[in-house]
Amino acid sequence: MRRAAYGLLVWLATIPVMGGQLAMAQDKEAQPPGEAAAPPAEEPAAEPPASEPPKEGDGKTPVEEVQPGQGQSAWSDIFVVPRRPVLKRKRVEFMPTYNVTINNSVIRHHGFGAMLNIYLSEAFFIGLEGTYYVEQLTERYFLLGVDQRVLPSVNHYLWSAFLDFGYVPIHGKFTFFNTSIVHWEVYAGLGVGLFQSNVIPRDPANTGFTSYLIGGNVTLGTRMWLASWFAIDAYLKDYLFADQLEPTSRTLNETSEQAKNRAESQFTNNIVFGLGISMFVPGFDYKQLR
Amino acid sequence: MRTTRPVYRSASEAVLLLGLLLGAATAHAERKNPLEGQTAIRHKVEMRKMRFEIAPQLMMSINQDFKHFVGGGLVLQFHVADWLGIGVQFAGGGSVNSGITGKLIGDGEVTDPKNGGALGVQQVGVQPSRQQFLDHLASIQALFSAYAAVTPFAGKMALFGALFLKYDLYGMMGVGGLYLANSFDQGKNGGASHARECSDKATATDPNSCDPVNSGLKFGGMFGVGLHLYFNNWVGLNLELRDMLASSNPGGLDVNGDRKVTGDDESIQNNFFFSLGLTLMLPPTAKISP
Repeated sequence: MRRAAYGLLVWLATIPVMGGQLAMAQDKEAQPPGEAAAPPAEEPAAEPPASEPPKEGDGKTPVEEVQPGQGQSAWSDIFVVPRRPVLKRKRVEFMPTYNVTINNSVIRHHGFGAMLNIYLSEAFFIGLEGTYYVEQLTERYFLLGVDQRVLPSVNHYLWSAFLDFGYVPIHGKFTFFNTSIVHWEVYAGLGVGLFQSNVIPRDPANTGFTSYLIGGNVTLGTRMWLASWFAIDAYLKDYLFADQLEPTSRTLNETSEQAKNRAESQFTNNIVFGLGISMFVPGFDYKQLR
Repeated sequence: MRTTRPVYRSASEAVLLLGLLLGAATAHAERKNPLEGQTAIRHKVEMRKMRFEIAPQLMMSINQDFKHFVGGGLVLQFHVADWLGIGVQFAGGGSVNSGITGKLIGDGEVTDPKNGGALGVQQVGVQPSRQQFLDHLASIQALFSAYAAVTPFAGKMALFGALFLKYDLYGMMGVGGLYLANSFDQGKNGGASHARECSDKATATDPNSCDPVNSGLKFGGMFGVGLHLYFNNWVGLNLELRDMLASSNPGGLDVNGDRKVTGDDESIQNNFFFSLGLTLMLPPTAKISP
């Protein structure tokens, strides 16, 4: 009796080997509950297509061959909709950034910083950003002195810190030479914060002075997802503030405090192009309806 | 005989286990992803393949030091494949003073010494007058290019989750040139004899009264990126950023310090242009990929 049982088990075990397919438990469970009569047996499913790419005028994909209403049950009318590739709600984004001034001919600032954003929903976020700047005087600054014999009033920005509010209005995807699909999105933001700028004195014998400037910013950026937690960013940001410039009539004996008291205020658009990498924590999971 | 039974039983169990493992492994190996090796998008609307593109554009420069170019032009492009096109572009227009130029010449008449500009000629023979400064500036009158365009990225996007647009991103590379002009009048600056002095390195001259030698055609390379946003299968919005690399001397004065204005004062300049256009794809019907 025991030998017969073992023999039966061995036979059962060899069935999948001979058949080449393991029956899946879900196959039976997929039957709609409460159906009175079992549907007639269907033809076995067609073999999956070869992995060779289709040629012009080729047939349909396996997915396209499924026609609504042709199946024996209502279950065959269910279509698969791709899920949103990344969820951001209640996640924190950390983004190290580099940016560079693009609208100033005489001084260029290289900004090294970071942003920390919290997503309140899939579209809205609130965040903090901080940037440290390194200045670079351009060739034009030198040439204005050589050719036009004038020395421009130029400030070096030391650092900035902003509170940002953002929104993600555009989502998209693209193919790279029709091979792989990449998801991306566009975000826009407004911010309010602080700059510290330092006057570069025209006469090196004079000392500069620093000013704290309240400003705002407007951002337009794009993010390309490489993983559910990782993306690369590119953005344009316009920092708007009233800069305090060295007076053009500053004399040699004038102290920095005196010069600061009669500094010339000039509304400034400091437009930067920036790059960053976004890292999102924690992970996320899709909620499944049962 | 009882001693052999455990051996037989364990052999049966081993066969049973082996059968299960083999069956599972074989089934797993034969379960291939039917989408493996397939193209990313089936039945894709090929917006570019074998189509002719006409795009009237508005164009402006974005990084000129003294004179911004503002004008209009036309792009003609034939797309050999969905990812490759060849095109020509032309734009013509005028120029407006940049912020630096405005600061240097002031707001009033150029000939008025009390107009508030920085060029008050405080160092006669060294500093250019306002008129000399303006006469030496090179302004871009036209630009043209012939290039190849590669479109690796094409996709669709959702604006506020409601408006869906097809789009593509492309890069351009080719050859082109700028046509530059200045308002320098040799007749008002010493005539032909003074021009000979200016070109003679052995004779000391004031470079502010010499021909800036920065007008005419300047050939170079063209690099750029662009974006199409399609409203339907043949009308779209076109945004482009082009960099015309050409050798020039935008200020038209002595750059290398030899007190002469010659071709040696030129250097390779990045000339960035932004354009906004309306794209029309012909024929109006796009092909559908397999």
